[in-house]
Amino acid sequence: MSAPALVRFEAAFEQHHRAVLAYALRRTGTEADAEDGVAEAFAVAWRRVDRLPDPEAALPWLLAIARRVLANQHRGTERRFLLGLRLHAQPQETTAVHAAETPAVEALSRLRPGDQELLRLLAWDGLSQAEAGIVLGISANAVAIRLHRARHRFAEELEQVKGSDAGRTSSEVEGRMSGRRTHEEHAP
Amino acid sequence: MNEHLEPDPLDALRAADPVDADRLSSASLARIRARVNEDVMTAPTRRLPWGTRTLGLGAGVAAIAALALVIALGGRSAAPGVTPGGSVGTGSASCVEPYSKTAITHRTFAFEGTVSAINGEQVTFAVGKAYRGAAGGTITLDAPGMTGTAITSAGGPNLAVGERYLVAGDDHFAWACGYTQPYDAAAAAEWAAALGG
Repeated sequence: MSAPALVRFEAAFEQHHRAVLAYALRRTGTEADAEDGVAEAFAVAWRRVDRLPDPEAALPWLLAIARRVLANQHRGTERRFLLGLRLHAQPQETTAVHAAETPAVEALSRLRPGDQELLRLLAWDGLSQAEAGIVLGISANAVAIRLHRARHRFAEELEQVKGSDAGRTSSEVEGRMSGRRTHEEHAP
Repeated sequence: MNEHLEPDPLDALRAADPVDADRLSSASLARIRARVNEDVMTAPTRRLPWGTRTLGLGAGVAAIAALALVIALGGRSAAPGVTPGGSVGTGSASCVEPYSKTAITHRTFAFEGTVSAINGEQVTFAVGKAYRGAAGGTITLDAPGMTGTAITSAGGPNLAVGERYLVAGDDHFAWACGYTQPYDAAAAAEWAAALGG
């Protein structure tokens, strides 16, 4: 038995499973989906344990795996959703995880998907630019270029969202900030 | 000259982080630990660079093993109180953190109690003597694989109403692998000595 490999895997799990779960929660609609994604990501990591980096530095490698797992999971969910629509299936009870509808989240949603993910990795997952590059599979130079563009676009969009919020009624803005949908406030 | 520092627009994004990584659901974390543990122990050997796959090395294993799930390899269940840790193909059980007098001190609760009710995999104990973390009265715990509902054995006793046990675990899970075992006076004395009870 390759005890060092097992020990390294255990150490990597222990050090990073919380961060991987937080990553998954930020990108999936439900706690259950996040758990599925994390468990599958570590299963994949175990099968590739010979390529596991030093546990201290393993987070980007694990997140890169989680990213692919969640992408596959998302595609599967879409297929099931479409099938459910055809079968008139009832939605299952789930615990949803959603970002509050703040101006920052709204501004983020207006960026290209790749730029969104880069900013999430830096701002939410706390990665360095080099680590984000590992997750995204791009060079440090490409990260720097994309970040320059994404940060600029984000600042512009944030200003626009704040400006449009300033033109709304205070109750509408409050509704957005608290994550409530404005149409609910005007529902009969 | 005073330098004017522009606020970082990403600060607004950081403040909108929907997840507090310091306050993740302990139940969610426990479920992931259990699933990863099971994946590790059941991964096909041919895909691994080694021949056996017993978890149980180092303190980090305790974290992976929140549920202390045991897979009875070869289809045979481990006996209650067994010190697990066998290898693949021997028919013995693998356990994430082998039971020992020292390992019992790693658990967040330990007590002697009598089963008063079983509901699925949830078991309610009337606590007789608390060694650690159980305030007395009754306590309801998840005891996966120990209530006769699981296909695979958890390497623990098949809990029965009215029977007396020594029980230890973490969060709201009773651990198997000897951490939950039929009451025995000698073992109870060991637990009391190890836990200062």
